[in-house]
Amino acid sequence: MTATPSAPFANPLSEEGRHVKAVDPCVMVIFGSTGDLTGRKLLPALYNLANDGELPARFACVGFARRDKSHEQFRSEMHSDIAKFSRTQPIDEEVWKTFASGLYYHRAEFDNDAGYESLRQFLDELDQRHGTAGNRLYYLSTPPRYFPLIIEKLSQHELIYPYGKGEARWSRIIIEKPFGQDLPSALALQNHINRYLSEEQIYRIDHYLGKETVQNLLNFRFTNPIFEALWNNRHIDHIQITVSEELGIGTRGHFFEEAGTLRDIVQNHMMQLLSLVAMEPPNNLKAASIRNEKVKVMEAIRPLTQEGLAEVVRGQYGPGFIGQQAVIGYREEQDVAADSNVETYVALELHIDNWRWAGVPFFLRAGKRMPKRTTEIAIIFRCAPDLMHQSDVPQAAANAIVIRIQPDEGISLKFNCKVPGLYTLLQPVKMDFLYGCFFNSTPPEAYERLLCDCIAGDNTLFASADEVMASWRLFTPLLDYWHTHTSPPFPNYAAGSWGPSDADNLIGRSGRHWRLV
Amino acid sequence: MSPLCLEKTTSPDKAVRASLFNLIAYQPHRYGHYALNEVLENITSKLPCRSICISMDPSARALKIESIIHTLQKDAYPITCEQINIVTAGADLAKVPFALMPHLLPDLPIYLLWGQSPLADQTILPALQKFATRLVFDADEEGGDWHEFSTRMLEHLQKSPLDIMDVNWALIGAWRDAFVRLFYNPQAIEQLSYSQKLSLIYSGAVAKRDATESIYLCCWLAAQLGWTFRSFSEKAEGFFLEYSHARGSVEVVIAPQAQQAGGETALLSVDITTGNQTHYHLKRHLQGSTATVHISRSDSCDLPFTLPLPTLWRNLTYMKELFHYTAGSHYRNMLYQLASLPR
Repeated sequence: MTATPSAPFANPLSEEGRHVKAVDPCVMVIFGSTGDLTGRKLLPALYNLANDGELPARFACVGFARRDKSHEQFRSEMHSDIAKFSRTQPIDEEVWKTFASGLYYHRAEFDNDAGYESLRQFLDELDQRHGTAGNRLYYLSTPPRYFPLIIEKLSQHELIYPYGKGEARWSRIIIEKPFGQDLPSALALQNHINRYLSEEQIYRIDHYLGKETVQNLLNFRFTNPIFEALWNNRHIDHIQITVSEELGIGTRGHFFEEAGTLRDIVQNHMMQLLSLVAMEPPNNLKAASIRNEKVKVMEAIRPLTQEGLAEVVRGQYGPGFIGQQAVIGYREEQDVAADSNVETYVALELHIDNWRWAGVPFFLRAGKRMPKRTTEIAIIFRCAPDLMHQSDVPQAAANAIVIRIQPDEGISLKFNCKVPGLYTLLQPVKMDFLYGCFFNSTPPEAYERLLCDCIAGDNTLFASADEVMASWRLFTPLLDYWHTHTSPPFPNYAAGSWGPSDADNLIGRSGRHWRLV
Repeated sequence: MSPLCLEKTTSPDKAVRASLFNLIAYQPHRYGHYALNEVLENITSKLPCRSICISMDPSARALKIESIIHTLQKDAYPITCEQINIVTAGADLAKVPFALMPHLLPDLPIYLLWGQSPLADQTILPALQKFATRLVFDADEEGGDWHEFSTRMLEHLQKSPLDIMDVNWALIGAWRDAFVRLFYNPQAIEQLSYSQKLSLIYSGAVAKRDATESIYLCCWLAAQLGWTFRSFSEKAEGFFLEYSHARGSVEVVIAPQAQQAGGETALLSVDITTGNQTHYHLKRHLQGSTATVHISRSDSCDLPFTLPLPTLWRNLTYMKELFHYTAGSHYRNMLYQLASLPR
């Protein structure tokens, strides 16, 4: 099969409507395979794909890292991790046996040419053994500073191939976020990568896009005209997007000190959620159409003015309580400077200047060490004009559609009802749809869907270069502003609370308030 | 002063009432190796639905209706739904559609789970099919006369607007997907089209009813690959067919193996020798939802690998196969091939 996007092969055995991805055989190489992500997410995802029949019939996976270990040791470690972290339990040993027979480990340094040369020979052997046909998928599960080096080495050692140009094999790279630290570094990284790879070969992973509930967002909007008709500034008062985490930074102190919540959550995950909520209907479900609409809406976001930059709320958690458990503050965490000014909380107000959203504020907040773990999108509608009920009867509460991304995945609709009785009293009530209750099935994990799509060559659920740059164009001025202006005194919120009081003022200025999630 | 606290009280478990669809099940008899009540039980134990079960009791004096509250427990959220049983002696069968109509939940799909082919019943089905979303049936009720069944079913499909799903067709869904995964490029399809031998082993006896899944798979391949039917014979060892194509002929053997299938599907293994002498052996694991694939050529062998072969009740496979996927052009093509078999 050629790697160019020519007319797809019409398999006479393939039925319309049956979702069987007959994917090409391939080898996946995970750089940085001794890191946390491989055992917690990537290998469990691959195992579950194998279990569900979504991996190619001919597939192999190679862990690439510095530490010395044998194939068997790597397989044993992955077996333990999968037993711990897989969404399906217990491990099906028949499936594991076949899966493990295609699992290997390659010890080498990222900057060592001999390591890449021996990798190339090893992968050629695997092609013979497993029939993987020279197709390569490289997952860069490494600190971002290694991306340029690894890609350059892969190219030098002919481990990645030019896209198109009659090449029968394909090669793709998956890059974890963050993609750069700001706009200049993101552009530099992009320019470097473009010397070796075409955009079609680059898969920028944002695992939020692989979540079942995030995908349901597009289906919810565009297959239910009843809601799409209201999805505009005539009916919506404002939108709140919340990503709150109960956990602190754990052992990620090194990483978090360089990143902060803006880079870790807001610039990528939250902007993906915002773009899916705000985008126009695509012409079709092809990757290019969906991505184009997302970029359009991101480019319509009003840049933050000097005043706007100053109004963005940043916070850092201090000691407090999560449930009944006392927890330490951010500055006491491992690998965090005692005088660190890195933010663990961000809240901001954005506006989208287009016909659909003019005048509708989008309030975003993300934070660590909050009372509970929740990711949700709340669409708050305009209140009814107070015509039905005069004088002494309270106004009806605003309707709301709440899309719960995690946990308790589902959608709820809040509306008003009359309380039974002789008097007209109103009570807000909720209609609730819970995924887990209705379908009685554990949906695939985000990484399963994303890896499956990447192997199939479908980049719909991966961030495009345009999306990434649009997001960095919006937030780089904010990062520059923070760099040149003193932060508020940190810490400024207790762990276990809903963030600094400035966040309440941010939304309170317009007479609104944060939802209790 | 005592601390302010609420008295601990005992309250019934909170539950949510919900339904995804209406399911009307009708089983006048028990047929074949796959009883429809197992299908019903599997569905209602996994998904909340309003189920209405129609059964026959010759001793019943009058139509009897009773309802049962059914609870599915999923983590902290128990879901309740209703099961309504309608029992009839047969004489008042015509009343059944009227009896069940008030109990259908509006705005939700209505699936008919039928214990006989739609060609048989003329009492209840015509009254229901104008409301129904889909009819799911087990064709083995026709007594295994493939020619008769397929000919009449093709006529029925032309006339009836009701969407249908044949349970035996759903049961080989995973096998059809396995073929798509294995033969995924033009070269592989070309070699498959010029196959020389095809062997399907199933669990059961040399009986048409037991071999239905296998014959469906064979006819599907023949239809999609453009094979022309030549001959059919039934012997003590099994069923023997021959098809022809541009480069020769395909000898097909469908034979039983005295072995418990270990699941609801009877097809145990498939062997194919393709046009370029590549031999594929797919063998289903009796436990679990996988098959082992061995591919060998005259001068080499591939390492065996596992291909998923999900059973109907694995995760939400049944929901896709029975309620969402359509028995479209491939099913019709298969029926045309089936109709070419002698009576």
